Amino acid sequence: MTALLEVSDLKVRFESDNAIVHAVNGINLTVDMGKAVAIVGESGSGKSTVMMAVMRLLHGNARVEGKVLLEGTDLLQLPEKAMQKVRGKDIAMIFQNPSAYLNPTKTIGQQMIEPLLYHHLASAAKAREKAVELLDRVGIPDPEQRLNNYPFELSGGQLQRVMIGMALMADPKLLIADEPTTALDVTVQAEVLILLKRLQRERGMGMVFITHDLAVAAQVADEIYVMYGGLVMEHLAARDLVTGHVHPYLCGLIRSIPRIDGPRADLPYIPGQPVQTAGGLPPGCVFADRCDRRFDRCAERPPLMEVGPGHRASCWLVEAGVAK
Amino acid sequence: MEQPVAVKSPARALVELADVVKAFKTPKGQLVACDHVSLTVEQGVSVGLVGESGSGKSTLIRTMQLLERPTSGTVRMNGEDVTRLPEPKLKPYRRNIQFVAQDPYSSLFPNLTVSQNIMEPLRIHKVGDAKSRPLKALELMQRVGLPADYFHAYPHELSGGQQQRVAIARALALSPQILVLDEAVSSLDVSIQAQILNLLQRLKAELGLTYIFISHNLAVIRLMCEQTAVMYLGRIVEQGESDSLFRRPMHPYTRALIASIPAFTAEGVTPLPSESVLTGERPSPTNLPSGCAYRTRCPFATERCKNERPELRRVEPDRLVACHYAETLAANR
Repeated sequence: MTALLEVSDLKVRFESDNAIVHAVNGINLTVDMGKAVAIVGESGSGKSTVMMAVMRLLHGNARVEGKVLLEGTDLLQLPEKAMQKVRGKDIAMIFQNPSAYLNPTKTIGQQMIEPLLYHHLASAAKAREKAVELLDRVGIPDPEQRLNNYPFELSGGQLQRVMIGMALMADPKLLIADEPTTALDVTVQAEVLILLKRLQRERGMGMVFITHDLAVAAQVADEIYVMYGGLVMEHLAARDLVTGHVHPYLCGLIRSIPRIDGPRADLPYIPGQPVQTAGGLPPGCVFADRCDRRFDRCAERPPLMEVGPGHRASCWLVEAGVAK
Repeated sequence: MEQPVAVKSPARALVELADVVKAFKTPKGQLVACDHVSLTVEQGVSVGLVGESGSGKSTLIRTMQLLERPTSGTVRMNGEDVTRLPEPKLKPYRRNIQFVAQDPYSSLFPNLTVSQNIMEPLRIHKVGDAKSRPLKALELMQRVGLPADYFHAYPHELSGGQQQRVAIARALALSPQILVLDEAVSSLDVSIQAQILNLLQRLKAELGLTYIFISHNLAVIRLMCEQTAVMYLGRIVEQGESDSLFRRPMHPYTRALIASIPAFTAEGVTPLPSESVLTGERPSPTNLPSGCAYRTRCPFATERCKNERPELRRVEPDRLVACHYAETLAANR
């Protein structure tokens, strides 16, 4: 399997007036060709920042270190002009709130053909043909008609389909989806997830799916990275999420989610507040102060350690062989 | 805290909606947000409301809170018909039913401190005086697990979970019988969500509260509510005991809804539904199809569904379903 995207030791810091926010603190992440990877974390865990850094869309006050290799080319070293050729062509991105990312003054059609014209990939007529075909593929009825509509004329679910269609216009190798279904109704969410999964498989495209919802991550992705405090706590196959996890943080999270077949009783929860990334991380394991299994070793920060094939966790319990 | 004595038996109806219709005039025509809805909320039987956006959940709740007058039908509160009461007379009824919104920060006054926020309902309803109110606020803060240090803090200084605790304390200030929780835990992170759910379960038991819980998270509904009502385009299409309803849904829409929501089970996460479960066109709410409103998306729809509107009927002792074929569908699962 060849790696499409390889992020190594990525660090992102934001300088604000009173503190430096250590949003991402050394992330290693690999997306293989044709695979779907989910990044899961609570708010403030740095999950979106990682991918914004990959796309180089962060504000000027962000300092990014590390390597982001797209098929061997380090995106962080590219001049801005060259990076513009990557965005929308090799890597496309969709977001939580499609109406905020679509131009309200342009028709769906004008916006859909834009990436092809911008990257000089097709003539306007050919691009239009492709837009019609893609709108049809993402399940928009009367695609020819819809091209002449403005964003406000479509529902939220339809706009997200348009966004997906638009992202696929230039046949990207990698699609980054940042909470694409969070704002949608549950039945629409299921439809959009099915669509994304099908398109990703059919096109052999790599996908990074960012979400706060562990269940959605398990449904869509092949592999899951669980983030906390800007670090990866555990990396495992999606099918092992419920039965195979080892990290105390992930154990705590999964136990605290009410189950549809569970008892009607108090939910076990993780005590305390999520770690603050403003002003630097605490020494040692970032989860230690909320962890019920901490021991003296936790004063030192654990690296990601191999649990099994394709399964790693950042916890000393793994080394001690007593995780789980 | 003074609480109405919980009547063990017979069950006491707190709110009764009978045949409530609420229609709005829109530029595109009449929109019937609630279409002949009857729902009784009994003391100690919390009700979960599920349905997509536009299904009429919010209008139903607003009618219950007496914020919206029904076009026809009646609303009874503690046995009294309040449908046509003039506005000033509604105030004592409104305090019985309090509301907690999804986003705690925007539902609190940013310019008032935590204690002032909690005391606001007391001030409006002229309960207590300048001396007793702060004491009441402190007692409420304790009850919802907020440290007394936050008494003079402003909402923006608190985390999301703490803000939601303030909102809950404020809703409890007037000792209501019913608490309406509109996606009250949806915007919180998983680990915080569990803490708030535990708090809500404890308050329910301690204060004998009855909840009306709107959520798209069925596991949360099942945890908090004895009864569940499923709404689709302004009507209740299925209602029954939560556990049995989720285990054995009888309306095709309930089935599709359950299939589309990812859920944790002991074995793993439920897989994505097959595409066939979710087909068909969503009708426009101002131009509903004839007969059954769900027939355009229903895989089992027949000629009868087109011609004859299925009424909500009792299919089992504790199950109401609005589908002509509820029995056959339940049998051939």
